[in-house]
Amino acid sequence: MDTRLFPVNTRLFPAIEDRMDWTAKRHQVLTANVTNIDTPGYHTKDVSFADQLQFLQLRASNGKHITSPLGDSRMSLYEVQTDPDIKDNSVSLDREMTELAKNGLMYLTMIQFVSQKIKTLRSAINEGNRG
Amino acid sequence: MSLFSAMNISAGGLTAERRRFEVAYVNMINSSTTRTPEGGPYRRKDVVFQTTTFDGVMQEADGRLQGVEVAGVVDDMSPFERVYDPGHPDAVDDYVSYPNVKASEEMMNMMAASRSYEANIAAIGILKTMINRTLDIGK
Repeated sequence: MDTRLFPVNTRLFPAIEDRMDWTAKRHQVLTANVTNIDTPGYHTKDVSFADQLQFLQLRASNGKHITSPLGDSRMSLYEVQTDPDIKDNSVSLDREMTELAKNGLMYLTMIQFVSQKIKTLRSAINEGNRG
Repeated sequence: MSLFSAMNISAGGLTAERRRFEVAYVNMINSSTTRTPEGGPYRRKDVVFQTTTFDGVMQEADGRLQGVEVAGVVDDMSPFERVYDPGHPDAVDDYVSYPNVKASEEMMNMMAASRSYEANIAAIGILKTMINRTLDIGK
């Protein structure tokens, strides 16, 4: 594609989309935790931030750039180390609801980013038309 | 779309919690039933929850993410309550066996089930907002 057609730097889009995708997947993990609040033997799960960096596929082109310590492996779940109750269930409703709200807000923030980018593009297109 | 799979997990949770509520409710209703089709007093029932795997995006990356379902309804084998009541038609040696249902236990069960149900509803609410706002992108 001839990038000159897009005066705005559209390369930010994939990063935002990846982040949205990751947030949606994390939401799935958090929802599963809430759902299993009464399941005996269930332990709280989460996806780590290091995994997220891999998911964004950040590549270091410079030695000073941030890199993922775990290499290129796919994103994976880990068990959150909290004390289990008498039924060996370690889900804390407070933690899950807070994380759900935070994660949801993060997703909405990403949507704002995308919307702003589109708005900028549209403005560029329309203003060009006017001339 | 992973948001919809997340919604399916919550829906599974709603089903399981409602089942648990129903069982506690039926126990409560039958707390004084001394005659059942199987014979003898009513025996308290309990639900057993188990994790269930589902088809989500995470499934490909890691098979450990799980939803919930009711594995089955089991009988509580604790002893019946024996009450001295010689005039009762079901009395054996002047004692009547009443169900092993404790009102406080069932009330606790119902409250816990309805709180867990609400938690799942709240999770679905957040998901709905996220999906709706996604549909608004570019408007």
